[in-house]
Amino acid sequence: MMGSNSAGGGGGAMVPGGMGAAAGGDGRHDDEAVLTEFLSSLMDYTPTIPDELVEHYLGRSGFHCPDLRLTRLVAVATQKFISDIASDSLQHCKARVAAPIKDNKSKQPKDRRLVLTMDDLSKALQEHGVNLKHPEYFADSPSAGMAPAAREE
Amino acid sequence: MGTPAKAPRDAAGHLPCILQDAVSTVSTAQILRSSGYTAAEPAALRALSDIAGRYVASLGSGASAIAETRGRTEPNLVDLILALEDHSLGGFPGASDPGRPVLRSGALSELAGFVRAVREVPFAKPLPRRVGGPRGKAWESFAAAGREPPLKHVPRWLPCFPEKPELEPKATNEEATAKWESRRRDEGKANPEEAVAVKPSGDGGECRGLLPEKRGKVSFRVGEGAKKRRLGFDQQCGGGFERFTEMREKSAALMRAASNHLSAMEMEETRRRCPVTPCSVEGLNMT
Repeated sequence: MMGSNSAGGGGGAMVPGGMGAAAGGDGRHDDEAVLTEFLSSLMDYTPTIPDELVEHYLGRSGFHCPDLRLTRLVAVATQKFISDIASDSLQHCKARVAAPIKDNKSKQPKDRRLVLTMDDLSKALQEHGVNLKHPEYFADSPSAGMAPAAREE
Repeated sequence: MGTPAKAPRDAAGHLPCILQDAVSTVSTAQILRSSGYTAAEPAALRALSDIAGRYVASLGSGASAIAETRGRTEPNLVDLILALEDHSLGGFPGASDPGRPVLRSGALSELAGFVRAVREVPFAKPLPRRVGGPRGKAWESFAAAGREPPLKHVPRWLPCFPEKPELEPKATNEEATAKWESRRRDEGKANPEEAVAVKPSGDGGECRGLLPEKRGKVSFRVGEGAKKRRLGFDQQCGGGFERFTEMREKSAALMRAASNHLSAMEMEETRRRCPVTPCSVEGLNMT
């Protein structure tokens, strides 16, 4: 079993066999046809995260596979993960920008741009199982010198 | 994990650390931009790009661990899908069915939906390809190479052994001794020349490599008494320490005298300047 599977491109060779064996019902067949199409479309799709970077990280973690589709699949999964986090923190950011306008009209927000901040990011990452803390006295943002009560809101 | 590691990690990877961080940062920034952001704090961007790298590495190690559990050396699509399902913390459609077929996984169909929904944004610049071809071709097993392993107990799925370099015939003991002696002789010849070369530049006229033939004896005595040594030190410094202590005593005496004098003067002066407080004190005393 070991010899047959590792002999050159075992990952890629496994896919069509598995598809053919499991194609029983019609609904299943449709689903699997869609997934097969998806996998083959990954060859033409270019993820934002370049293949070289993904291969580098995969190689460092012990994942050696010559199949480009698997690399692309990892890249797509990572892109989905990052964009999920980004959209979550964007919701936090929009909520934070919209809230003070109702409270006091005297203070106009100087900047209407959407900026990814550490606070939003840590809130969004909390839902994805990553605990990220803003460094307390990090004089990087203009809000670092403000009162802590004003900064937290 | 607050501040992602900036220091260079191990040099095992092909991409240099700075390049991989930069590439990761740029691609993360592209994803952020496509999801609606216009700017990002540098710290947050760095943290997010670091998390992206860790996510890829975690997926890879999960998939390879599943493959190794099943007795394979190379992960395939099934292992990767199982690793993806492990990494979807929020769940995925169809997760409740334990007998679901792996290839119809909800995680994979979610990814397919994501690919269909998102605009394709390729990386900004072409990257240099690694030298030596794709990683999978870096080593091949005995079976793939079509060779028989040299030893019977070695399975065919192991990678080929590295080619043995041609060994030099082992030198016998006498030869080695002769070699060593000749090298010693050469060093002996070379050293005087070096000494000549060094001499003009050396400060004391002595060359550094060679010791002078005779040296004066240096004796150390332990426990002779601390007093003697301190005295010697003071004399060596021209009695500066004694003078300093004298001066200190003098100045202390002066200060004492002056403070006595001053306190009297101050009392006078304060009474003259602000007559209110002393008066009140007197009044208090009177009552």
